[in-house]
Amino acid sequence: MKTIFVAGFFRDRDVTLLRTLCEYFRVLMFPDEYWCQTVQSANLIFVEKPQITLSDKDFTYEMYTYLAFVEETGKRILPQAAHHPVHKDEMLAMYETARTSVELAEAFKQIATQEKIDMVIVSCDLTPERTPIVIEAKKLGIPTLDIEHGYSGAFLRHHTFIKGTQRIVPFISDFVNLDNILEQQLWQEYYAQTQRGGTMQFIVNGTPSDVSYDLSLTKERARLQLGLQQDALTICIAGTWHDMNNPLSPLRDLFEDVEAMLLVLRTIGEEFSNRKVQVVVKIHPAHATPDIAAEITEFLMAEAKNYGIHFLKIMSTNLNAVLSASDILISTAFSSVLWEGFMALLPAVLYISPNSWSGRNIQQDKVQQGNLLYEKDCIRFTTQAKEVAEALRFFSREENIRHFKSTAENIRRELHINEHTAVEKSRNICNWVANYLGLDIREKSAFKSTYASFPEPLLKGPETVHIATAKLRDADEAMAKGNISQAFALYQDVLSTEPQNEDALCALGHISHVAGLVNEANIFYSTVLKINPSNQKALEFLSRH
Amino acid sequence: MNKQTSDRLYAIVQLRNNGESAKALAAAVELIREQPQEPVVFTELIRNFILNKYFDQVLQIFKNAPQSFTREILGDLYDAIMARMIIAFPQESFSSGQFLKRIQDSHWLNTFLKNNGERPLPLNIITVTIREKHQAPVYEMYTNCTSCERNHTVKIFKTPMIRRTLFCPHCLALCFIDYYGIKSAVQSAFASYSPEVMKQLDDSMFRLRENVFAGADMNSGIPLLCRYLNVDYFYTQTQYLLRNMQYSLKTS
Repeated sequence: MKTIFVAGFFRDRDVTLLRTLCEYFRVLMFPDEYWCQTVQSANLIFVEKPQITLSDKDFTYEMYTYLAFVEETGKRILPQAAHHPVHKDEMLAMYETARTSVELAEAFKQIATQEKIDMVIVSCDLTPERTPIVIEAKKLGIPTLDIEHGYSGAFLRHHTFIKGTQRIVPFISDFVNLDNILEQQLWQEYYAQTQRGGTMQFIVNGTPSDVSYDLSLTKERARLQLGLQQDALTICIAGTWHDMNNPLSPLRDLFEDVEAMLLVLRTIGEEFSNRKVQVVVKIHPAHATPDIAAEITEFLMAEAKNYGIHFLKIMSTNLNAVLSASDILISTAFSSVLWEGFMALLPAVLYISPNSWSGRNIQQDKVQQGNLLYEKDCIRFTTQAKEVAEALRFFSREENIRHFKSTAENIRRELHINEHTAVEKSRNICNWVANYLGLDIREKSAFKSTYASFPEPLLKGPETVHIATAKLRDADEAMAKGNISQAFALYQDVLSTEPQNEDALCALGHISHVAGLVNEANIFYSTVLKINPSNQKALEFLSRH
Repeated sequence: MNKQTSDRLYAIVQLRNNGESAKALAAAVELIREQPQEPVVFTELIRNFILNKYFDQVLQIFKNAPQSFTREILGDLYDAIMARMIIAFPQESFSSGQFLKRIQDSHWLNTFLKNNGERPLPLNIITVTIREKHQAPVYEMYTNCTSCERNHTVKIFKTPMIRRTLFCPHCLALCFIDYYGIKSAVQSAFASYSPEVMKQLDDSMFRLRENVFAGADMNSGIPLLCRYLNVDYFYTQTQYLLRNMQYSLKTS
């Protein structure tokens, strides 16, 4: 059995991926209470983090070289400013993170000497919780795979930018798993241009995020779920956020984002003064603390009222429902939401302020050649209020929406862009990993899985259906007697022979829900709706969650 | 008042004047448990309840111990506290409400008396300091209250997209600070850095990112900790640069 070490999985988006990995492989990770409670699998092993006693001398030396580098670099970057040594607060702010990352690297190295690790998989290889493990794995010759969830399929390709100015955050893993072919083209061209990446390879198995677009969620249900009016034109404005990785972020970028948001609000107010319109502002999860979200809400509500917009809702979660509920998406930055909107069949307007970095460095006449989504007018690139207004007018007409949807579907078909669920994308990744590691996929069946697997429908035949019916009866009986764990196992058994059995899926959804496993219930019921969109139980559950 | 109490009280005053009114309130609650008879501590507690907009708690205390709400105990803040309670609870009867008939020294109280209402007063922003906290900026605005003309700090975390009303920690005037004020203050504070310098800074930071990431898994000249810390290294670098930029402005 192959062994995978995983690190940095996101709690809100990587549950399905981790569960699926456990179906295929022996999965190691450092202890984590959340994952311990969320994913129960015999194949998931929490390896005790070895006690690392860092030598004070060595660590002090590392900190010294680090801080000296900060100072030296600072002087080179901004020779105009007076320079004073790194402040105590600045050093202390980084001290614990630095210590933790060194300990993490040392702990991983020790584990790697005790266990044969066949691959390291991280979810987004940035940040000090993941990078030290990737670096050390590479040094030890262990292949590393980064599951990227940037959904950058709607970004512009390199020739759209003034030569040499394109900026994207680079990766460090050996393999980077992407969602679609447009993303792959973008990254490959970028890396070819910058001559970076070495032997890095981009692979396309789909991004299995648990919190993204949901093609099974109807507009009516999504609006109901979000408390929106059913009969109003619904416009989603998606903002972004900038972390403090550059002094210009708090000095310039944050303000430009707000200006962009205000321009869009004003334009909506002017354009639809005679029409019933509602605006949903999707703020970045990074702003999602209640106090900050409340302040943003107060500010935007007041501004929107000034522009004649009377219904405005601020959301920081439920992206799937926000996308499903909307008629038009406006993004004020190159954001993953543009791709997610495209997948949710939502026409989009991208407004880039001419004063922003992107606005100054994009060759506007080349935008259309920079990405098929712009070329085919699925996303309208704009830099002025009047262009935003025109795009809004265009996308608010029924005939244009019909045309957009048919174009979007053609693009998906032509580029073989998958519409797989998170489960299916996770399985694609696992199959790729298994293949890379030389593992025969059939070995998988020998593993004991505690999570329902969904074999290919070709298994289904009269005989298997018969067996499934008998198993379903047993499962129903166990359920009726209140023997829940037995019933759960039997329903899973039904799925092993008849993966699309609606009753079994519903029952598993019900059991998961009662057990408080809402995410799991969501997956089961969503699968039910794909088989039977009018299944009442599934509709009922999903309208409430 | 003993020295220990006095020191703790001083720390509370520092906190609330420094934009940390929640922490100041927590410290005041702790202190009043030990010094329930100390009028200055009591006044500080009430002040911090109001700064945090916990009017219900103040009303509760008032109802339980109306004898504590006197000019003798609350001192100079008596009028402001009572006015705040009258505004927060117009239906309640505050027997000591007669105080408002006398002429006030306070600008906001006189306006309130004259108009029987109040509008938030804009804070004058004197200086801006930007710090990094949890990967996001904190805009620390050192401001001047247009009612009492005393200074205090307002902290804004993560985004300038705000329209915040708050009470002056000195005189309890209703003040406001918003996106437009912050934007203008930040722009003017860093105006001496030309767009060319900013562009050069931007390009250099980008090249640095490229180098750090490119050298992540090899023995490059980039220190191991920069490579391990990855994006977090840039938070230190940004904080260092911002501080030195601001220091240069102050000394030039």
